[in-house]
Amino acid sequence: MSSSEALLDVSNLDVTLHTERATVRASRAVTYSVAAGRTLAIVGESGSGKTILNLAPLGLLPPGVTADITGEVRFDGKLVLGDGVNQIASHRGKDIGVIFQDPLSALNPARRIGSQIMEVAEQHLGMTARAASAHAAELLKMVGIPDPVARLSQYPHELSGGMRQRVVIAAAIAAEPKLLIADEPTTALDVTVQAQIISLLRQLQKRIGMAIVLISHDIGVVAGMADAIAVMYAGAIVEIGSADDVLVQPSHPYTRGLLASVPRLDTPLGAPFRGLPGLPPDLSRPLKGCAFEERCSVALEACGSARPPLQPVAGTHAAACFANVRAALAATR
Amino acid sequence: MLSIENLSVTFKDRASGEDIRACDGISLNVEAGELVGLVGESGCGKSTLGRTIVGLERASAGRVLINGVDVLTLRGSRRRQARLQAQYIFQDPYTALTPSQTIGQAIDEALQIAGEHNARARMLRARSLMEEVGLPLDILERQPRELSGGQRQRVCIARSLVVEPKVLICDEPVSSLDVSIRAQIMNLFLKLRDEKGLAILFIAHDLAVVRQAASRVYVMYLGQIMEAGPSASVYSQPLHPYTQSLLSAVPDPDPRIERQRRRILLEGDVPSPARPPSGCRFRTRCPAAASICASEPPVMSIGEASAHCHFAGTVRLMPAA
Repeated sequence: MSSSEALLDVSNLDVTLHTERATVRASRAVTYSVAAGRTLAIVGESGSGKTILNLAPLGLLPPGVTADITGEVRFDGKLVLGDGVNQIASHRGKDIGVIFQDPLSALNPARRIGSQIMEVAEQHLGMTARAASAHAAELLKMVGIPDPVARLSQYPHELSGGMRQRVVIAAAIAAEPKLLIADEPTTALDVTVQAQIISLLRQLQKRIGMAIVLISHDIGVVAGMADAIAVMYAGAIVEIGSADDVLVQPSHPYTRGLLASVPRLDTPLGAPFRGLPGLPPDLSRPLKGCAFEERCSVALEACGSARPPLQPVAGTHAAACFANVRAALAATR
Repeated sequence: MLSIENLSVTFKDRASGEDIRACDGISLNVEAGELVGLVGESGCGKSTLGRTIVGLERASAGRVLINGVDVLTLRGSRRRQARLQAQYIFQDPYTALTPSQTIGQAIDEALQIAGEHNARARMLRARSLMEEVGLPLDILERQPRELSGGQRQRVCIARSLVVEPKVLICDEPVSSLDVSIRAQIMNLFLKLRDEKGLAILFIAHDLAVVRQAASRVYVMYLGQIMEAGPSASVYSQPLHPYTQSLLSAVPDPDPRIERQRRRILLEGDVPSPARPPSGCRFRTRCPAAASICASEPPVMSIGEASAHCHFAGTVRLMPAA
């Protein structure tokens, strides 16, 4: 999926995390790209590595955790990670905005909302305090906060969860970033507020043309926002393609199982719930074969001994599954 | 089995001294062998209601009948006994367990509290509980941190079954679990409903999960029930504008459907329960509100499905772009 017009081009990214207790191979040979004005969703469950993959290169790690990062990242045509270079973090706040899952922890509780947004504008756009204040009010208005000038002097705790997440979005886009990394931006929110935030992100993307990397476990949110989707399992991308490819014609057995697990408003009433058996593997132990093998209903003998590579299904749609390849071969015979 | 009549719960806000009515005149019931959904957005009072049923919050008015007995009027040991018949399952199974105890110790402790004095009987019962919730026996030797989220929730369910309750109050029991794991826990609740005849009040914000599991559903907003009825009718023909907007906000996992989708986007935030709007509570956000909605509180319409709205069943909100 690499292309010359990509704004963000990630190739072969490996992240290994070291904590006091363990060493975890959080992501392995991850390759993806996203163009300006487009949204790539990275989908996965907890522990799949989807968050670490995107936040570790920006220097955003939990306390007490260090990371070894290898691979290459190009941003806006420049090598920012790899070959001895590590400059992604310097783009954060300016060219790269980040929205975190929990809006309360992303804001400083002791500082007024206005000053937290103004800071971004002063630092990255070189605005005077007066211009930054006007800019901050403009941003709050843009994200749909009523009475924005009055809100500037309020503290985060004075706002509802939905309003706080709007403030976080306003701060993240204050420097008009080219790329927005949104980590579970609506997970802490109610469904009606979630709908408002998704619609807001879509409008902002249209207006300022930014690329979005949406990190989410929520297939419904992803279906409403993504142009392309990468599905992660146990630290690796197991399927990647356009939103329609991945969600309408899923190829990897994990993606299929995940989609079948999502209750929908047209599932028969009273039907038993469908999910996947078992648990994801422990990433602090070495894996011999396919990480999904134990939970997979179509696993072959080869799956236990070798790791399947990502192989094209059709066009830009690819999946990492031996069973698929065999089925495809059988179909062409 | 569980019947709530006109229940109100009032808190005093420490900062402002105002009375906050988290639940205001709630009535609902759950039969034995039935799973009933209680849905609504955060702050609507649904968790407060659940906590009040099991005695974690104090009711300011109304009745909580479990198996025909109003537990609010009982005192002392009779009250404790009656209360044990309703058990509470929390959203986060990790904080509900003591980190330093093994699972076996936690279950054993619960059995001792329930009055089982024979150690061997307790051990046998702990094993059969593990089997009942689908956990291998070696889990008894482990500590909570060694377990996955799904396993921990199974342990919490096993512990709640120690006293052989008649009613389970489940407060967002699968929200913190991964999607592929949720199904296993949901199916366990359905099994307990069918095999033990438990009455389950299932509190959740995920409307699709509730629809699939619950025979009936109550929709709550700002401390009151807005709509109640069989899932089949509430989800296909919602009478209340609030229910209509909630359902319209649920995303679909099919991108082709999402691209065509038009939603009813509600304006603004939920008002403070300390100062609820006059008349209908939903009117400040309701696109269909008329002047009567501000002047008179609506009464619950009567029928198999019923709604707390002056225009119940006659209003159909049109989605915007």
